[in-house]
Amino acid sequence: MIANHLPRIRHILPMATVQRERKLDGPGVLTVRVREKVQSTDVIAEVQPRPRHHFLDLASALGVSDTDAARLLRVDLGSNVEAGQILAGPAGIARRTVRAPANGEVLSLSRGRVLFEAREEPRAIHAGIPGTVAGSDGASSITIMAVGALIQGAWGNGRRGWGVLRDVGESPSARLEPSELDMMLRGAVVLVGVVDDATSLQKATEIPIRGLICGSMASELIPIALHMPYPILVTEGFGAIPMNSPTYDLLSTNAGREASLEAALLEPYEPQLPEILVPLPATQDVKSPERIVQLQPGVRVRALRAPHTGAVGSLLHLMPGVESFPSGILARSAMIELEGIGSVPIPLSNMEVIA
Amino acid sequence: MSTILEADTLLAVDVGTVNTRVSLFDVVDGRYRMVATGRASSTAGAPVFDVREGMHVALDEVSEITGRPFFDESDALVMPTTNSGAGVDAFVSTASAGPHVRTVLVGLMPGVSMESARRLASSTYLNVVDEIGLMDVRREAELVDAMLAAKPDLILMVGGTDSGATASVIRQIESVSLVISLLPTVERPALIFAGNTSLGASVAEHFQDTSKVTIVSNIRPDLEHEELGPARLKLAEIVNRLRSQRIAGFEDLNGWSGGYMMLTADAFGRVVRYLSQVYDPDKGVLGIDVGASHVTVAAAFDGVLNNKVHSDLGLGISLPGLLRYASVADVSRWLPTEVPDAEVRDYIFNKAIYPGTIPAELTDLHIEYALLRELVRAGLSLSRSDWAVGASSELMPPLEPIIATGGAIARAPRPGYAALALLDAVQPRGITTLVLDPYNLVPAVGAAAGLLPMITVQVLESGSFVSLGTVVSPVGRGREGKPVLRIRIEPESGGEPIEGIVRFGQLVLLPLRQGEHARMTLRPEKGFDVGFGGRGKAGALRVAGGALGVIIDARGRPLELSKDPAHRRELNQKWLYDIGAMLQSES
Repeated sequence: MIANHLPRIRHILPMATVQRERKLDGPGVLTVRVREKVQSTDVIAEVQPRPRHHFLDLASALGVSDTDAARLLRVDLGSNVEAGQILAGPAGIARRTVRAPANGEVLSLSRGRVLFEAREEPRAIHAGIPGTVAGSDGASSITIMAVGALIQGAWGNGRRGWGVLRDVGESPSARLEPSELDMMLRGAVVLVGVVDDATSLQKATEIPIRGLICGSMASELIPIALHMPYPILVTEGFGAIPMNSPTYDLLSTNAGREASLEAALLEPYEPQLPEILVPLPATQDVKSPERIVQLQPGVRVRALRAPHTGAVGSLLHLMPGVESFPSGILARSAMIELEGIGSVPIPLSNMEVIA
Repeated sequence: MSTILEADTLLAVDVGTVNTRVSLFDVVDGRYRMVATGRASSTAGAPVFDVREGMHVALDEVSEITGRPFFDESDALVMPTTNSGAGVDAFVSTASAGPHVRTVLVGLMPGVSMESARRLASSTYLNVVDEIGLMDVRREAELVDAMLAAKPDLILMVGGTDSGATASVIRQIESVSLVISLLPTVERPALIFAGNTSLGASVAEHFQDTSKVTIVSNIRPDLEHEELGPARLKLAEIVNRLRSQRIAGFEDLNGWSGGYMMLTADAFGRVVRYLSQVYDPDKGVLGIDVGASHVTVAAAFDGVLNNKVHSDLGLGISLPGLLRYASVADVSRWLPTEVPDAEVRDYIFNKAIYPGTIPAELTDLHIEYALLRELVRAGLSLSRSDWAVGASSELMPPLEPIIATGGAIARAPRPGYAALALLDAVQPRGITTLVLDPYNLVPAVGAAAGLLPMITVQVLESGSFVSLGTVVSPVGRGREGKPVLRIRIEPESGGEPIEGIVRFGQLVLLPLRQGEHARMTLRPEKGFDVGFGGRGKAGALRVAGGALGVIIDARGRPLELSKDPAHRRELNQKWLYDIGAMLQSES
């Protein structure tokens, strides 16, 4: 029997092919070509930070009329100028001039004023994952194809990073103690069960680590986590929830390998979800993850809510009609054989398929 | 939509952030009835980004119930109904799912055009990311950079009454025009000008080389009047267009709807306004929709609608936004058991990650309903200042009825949970009726009203909506246990009359089944007002029963909760028992 229900899907795959898009958030230059191989650290594009603008009142600064200001402009509209370069003048006995406030470009001149666009140094965009450039629009987007272990998470602090994976707590429920963060973890992606202490997050900055993967985190730490310079990826949710066993097993067995973290912010209409990729050599054709999976006997599921939050099991059968739960709520449900717990009914809404 | 159809069957689809609901209406005994409904997870977001997937799953459910296929072999909707009974005669669709439209408001005076622009923006699914008015203290270049940094999908320009300012409006338009010229063509936002009508041609000229600007009638034609209707229609078009650009399937839904796919909030507001025209003109109608990403509060007084979409409130992804308006302690005060603040806070953020989940444990249910109360309170508090009646009063204006919908309200395990949450959050005064829309039909009938005018009233009068009952909420305060009113209920069916005294602090249910009517006589004590013209004034009226019968809420208006946490939890528990939400065996 297959349910009339589209379950959430969480990818926890020992081997998958993924395609990830890197979008430029402004004008820039792509520095790689399609079919080129890239490493996580490779620069694949340079993007121009959003420029700042200045209105420079030439007429007033030079003490001349609007018409004369136009005549005294010494650079062409649209041409690049350097900081300090004379833009207009000299004028008058004092030989007044107007200089460029920064490197940039004079965009327009109107009523004796110029609009000046100040430019900063371009910012490098890194590949973030090792793979092959699979596609590009030639201007603002690059797609990288990579193979490896793929683990999706629940929440991220909006940062991306990579480093060697280190299992600090050696248990899916181990709490991160500040004392465990030492110089041995410099440049590492740290794997722990639970984070409930701001000191640990701060201390990790000082080392510095390259990333943090935890099963859960106290929600009161969210504002701090959002300001940390390294990616933080939470696999289960908020509170003190141990990391689900397939995720922990897959990550801990890959300790010592490089891991790429995409700790994407929660944006329901953006394609990028929080995820970890542990790049692995492909031995054969590796499939891409499924987008839609039917809820049917045998599929592995993970419970999303109390009383078994984060527990993983196998779907035994879909229950006919609706089931009543301790809250009194009636819901379409499935009987799940949860690892270490036994057979329990769980509402279809409160589970996700591991695929 | 003004075309009136001859149609028997109507299919309505509402695409929400978490759920997609499909409802089939048919004519039964000469009246429209909802005959089947289906629900599925919405697929507007990751990883599917195609609303048709969720719609098809929900439709499969309806097909299983009715045996009616809706699509042909080429996956096209069959319309009108065939002789074999496949398809439907009419189709309507509504949607609240989709990314919020990032909007910059550009106007003149904070209390005039900008105020109207804010009201317009808050009536639909816009996310106002910046406001630029005449009183803005930022330098001109900073304003340009702010507009560029905002990455708007839409710039809404207002300002100037029809015989008023022109120069200052044009200066603002010039700034926007400059910003547009600095953006690459593909990043240029939609532009609407809804200001001084006489400037239309000049505004169009400013953008002729860069972008298309839509000019609609002035939202503030003079200082005393506000006219949001035409601009709202245009906004709906733009919201739909931007959604269609990012999510597949919306175009199909719009096409099947004859090009008139509605925003859920607009359809919801249409029904509330309609009801305010047919119900007691001395009272307003209140509609509350608590979704995962929005709380919509629609209030109408004698046909004048105020509809507000609060995109930073919701019982899903938007839930953390509640903490801007309420503290964790504000939420916890509604709990009947002790729950650590950290647990409530974690619940809020977990619900944002997993918005489609439901509370299976009792404590989770209590937290969810405590959150629901604060969401409704926040939504009302943000909306009421613009209401035509009672905007400045601490007490609610008289309302009849109060209609509530949304996933959490609809799936209340017992009607008492929904009723108590609404009483605590809305705190109605006098006499009103609480109505639940468990199948989320309000948007469907709102969207269908243009095609099939009779459907609204006929479906509303059918059993698809659940009347929780008539509520009497005396206004006043007294000592615990002091008499508040004497009540007598004489059922029209001829049963034994019910008579008694209700005391301060009590929450009392008197039996009167849904569909039954009775004559109710109320004699309030002199410090209490039940809506018969002042404190101590008695009166009688005909009332209808409901799932809970007649509810007397004598806990006082405004409701004051005990400052002692243990006593407060005890009372919260007692009220749950009193209203039939919990049984004595549950605790």
